[in-house]
Amino acid sequence: MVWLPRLAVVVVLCLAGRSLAQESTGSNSPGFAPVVPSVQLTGDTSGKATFRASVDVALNLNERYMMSFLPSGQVQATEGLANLLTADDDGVSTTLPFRVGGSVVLHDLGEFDSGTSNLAPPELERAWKVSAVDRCLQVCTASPETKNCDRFKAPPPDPTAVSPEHMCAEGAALYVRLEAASLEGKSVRRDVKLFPVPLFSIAGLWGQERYKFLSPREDGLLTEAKRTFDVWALAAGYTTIVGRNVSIEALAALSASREESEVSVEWCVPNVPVGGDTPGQSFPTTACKNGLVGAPAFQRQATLNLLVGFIDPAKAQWRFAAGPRVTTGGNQITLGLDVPFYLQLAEVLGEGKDKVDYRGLLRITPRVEYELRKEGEDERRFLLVLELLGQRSLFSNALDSISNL
Amino acid sequence: MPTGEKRRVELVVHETTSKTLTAIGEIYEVNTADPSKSELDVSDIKARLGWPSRFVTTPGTYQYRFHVEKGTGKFRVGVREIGTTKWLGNDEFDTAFGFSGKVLSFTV
Repeated sequence: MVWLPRLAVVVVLCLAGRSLAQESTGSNSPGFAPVVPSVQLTGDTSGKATFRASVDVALNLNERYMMSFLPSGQVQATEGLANLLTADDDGVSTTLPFRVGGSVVLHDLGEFDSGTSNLAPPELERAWKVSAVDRCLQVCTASPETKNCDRFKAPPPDPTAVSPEHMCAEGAALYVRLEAASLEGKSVRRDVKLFPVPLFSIAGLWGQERYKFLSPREDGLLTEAKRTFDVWALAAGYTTIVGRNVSIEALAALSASREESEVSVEWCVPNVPVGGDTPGQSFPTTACKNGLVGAPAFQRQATLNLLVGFIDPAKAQWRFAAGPRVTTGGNQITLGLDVPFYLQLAEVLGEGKDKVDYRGLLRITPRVEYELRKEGEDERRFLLVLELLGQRSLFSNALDSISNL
Repeated sequence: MPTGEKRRVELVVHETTSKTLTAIGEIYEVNTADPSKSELDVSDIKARLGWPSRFVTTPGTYQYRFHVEKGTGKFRVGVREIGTTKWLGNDEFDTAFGFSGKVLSFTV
């Protein structure tokens, strides 16, 4: 069954690649934003490595909000990036856990700027008004009962003094068309916020882990056992931008996993003797094995993470944040400080409101942790997490907070 | 410029869900005898939600001709004397009708 995770990753990558090809040709279904892949490759100084791939299917709810659905698959290894694509089952537990999950993200796309520098000069605006008012005069002569026609019983003395809102529907529509035509191709309707912000996100992850351990049998003796356990995690996140450059992120996660027993035993059985240097000489040998006593214990963990940060005011090509992380569960409470720094390596920028930006990012997160244990000595840790990300936003969603389940 | 007591007025953007939507334009004084000959009275009047634009003018009939930046949707623009609540002019606008060519009429 080791091939199954690898096959799933390949399928996800193929789907993602196909989606990106659609994006590059500009095809876009009404209501749906271009489908893009979302990928994440993570490695940290503890040796843990994760690769996650999602297909980001987004629905534009209106011109400001977009809902993204990201079914995801991930593989993780505990002994470095090189082990991500190999599977080994010779240890206490399987070293290639595979997880499936996904997230739903409500993005705030920001508001669109009309771009005053590209608006038409007054004489052109006057010409549009004259055309639109003429249209209303024609419409209102034919159908005086039409809405707003009380203003067009006679030609207005100054057409520029008439707001499009006060014109008949046909005149207003003509004005909007003329204005839109003058703005077309000037790339002026840029997102004020420069990137989509994942306002709310919820995420879930599920997987299975297989453990070997020593379990007591009926006669009281220990025997080797193998069992598979479900592991899962749920998370929710909220992000907001204060002003233009200050970000606030809050993440909460709940996970259920297994923790291996800390009691291990070693036992030895007689083995084939080893021959000595002289004929007939032999030495008895034993073959020894190690095992953990008892099934891995169920462990529930809750994590809260709050980050306050600053975004590059010029082009939003970098940002950093800092904030506390508290994890509680089992026999310990872990207090930590995260300082993630995001650097944009590449971007594909959309031009209109129906186009969505796509970014390649490097995220570097130094993390200091202090683990307070009810039993045993407390532990201090420093961790450096390096991640390569391909996603819509400069921000990540709740799935990030549980990806190392 | 008509003669008369100077009034301190403010132009306000309100009833919008956008914090950034900005109205930018000029105040024209309407020549009531010949409305086609309006004259520029105050230039560079810029306002957004919570950030009104204040200026001094004299009694007369005026138009605020403006365009919209950094926002979309429906909103209202009103003019009132500073310290009062009575609108001298107040109208609803919508970027669905375009970003330019907006006109608010008011009388001081």
